[in-house]
Amino acid sequence: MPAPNATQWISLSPEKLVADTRQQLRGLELNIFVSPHDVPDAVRGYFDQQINRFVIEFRYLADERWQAKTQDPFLTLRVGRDSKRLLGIEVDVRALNAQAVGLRLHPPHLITQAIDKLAMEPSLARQEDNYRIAKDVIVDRKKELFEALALVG
Amino acid sequence: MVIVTGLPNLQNAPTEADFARYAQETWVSADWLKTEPPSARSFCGVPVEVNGRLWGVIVLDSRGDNAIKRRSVNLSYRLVAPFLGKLLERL
Repeated sequence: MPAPNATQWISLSPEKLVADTRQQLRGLELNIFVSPHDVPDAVRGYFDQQINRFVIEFRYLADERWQAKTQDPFLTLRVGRDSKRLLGIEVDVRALNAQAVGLRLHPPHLITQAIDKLAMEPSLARQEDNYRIAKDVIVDRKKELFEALALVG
Repeated sequence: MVIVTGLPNLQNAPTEADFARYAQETWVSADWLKTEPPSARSFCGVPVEVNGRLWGVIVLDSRGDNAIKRRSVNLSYRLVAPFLGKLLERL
């Protein structure tokens, strides 16, 4: 259930997020691509007043329940319960003592580092492509995603 | 998602080498191919998920040797995947 103050989704071009790859599989060179299920088609960033956190959400082909993975006191990742895809990110900006201006000056390193850390968990290695794509989206759409932070006091 | 294209034409006087290559690239035996040579020369496998779990695979094939394009498959699958997932939930 989205927060009442959730902003509009920013459409992504799934085609542009996936690179063509040729990989060896059982000795054969094949065109293997990231599953369409692992590529988000939209993203949004907003301050959720109900949980008092800044939230980035990814939208995929189908909805899925998520489980929280707390990376540090300020950041929680929402990971698909079964798929282990990155569905969202919560940042406790107030606890971070980061004003909107502060975050705008500093790229969201906190988030990209957290995603890197997630990708290093052996049980989540199969979603390496999804995490890389999510990270690319956050970096590429940083300006739009973090716009909502300007309203956070 | 896996795409295999450019398979040999087994409908038009195939050679032993054609059977061997087709068999290697599709992980079946050459003997099995000889019993009823397939006409498909391109394949694509798309994973189907239900509630975040792999449910199965849709396999597309074509007589064209380079007829299956990733972009087309992606666009088409994105249209049907949400409905497909909901339908399969009931099975």
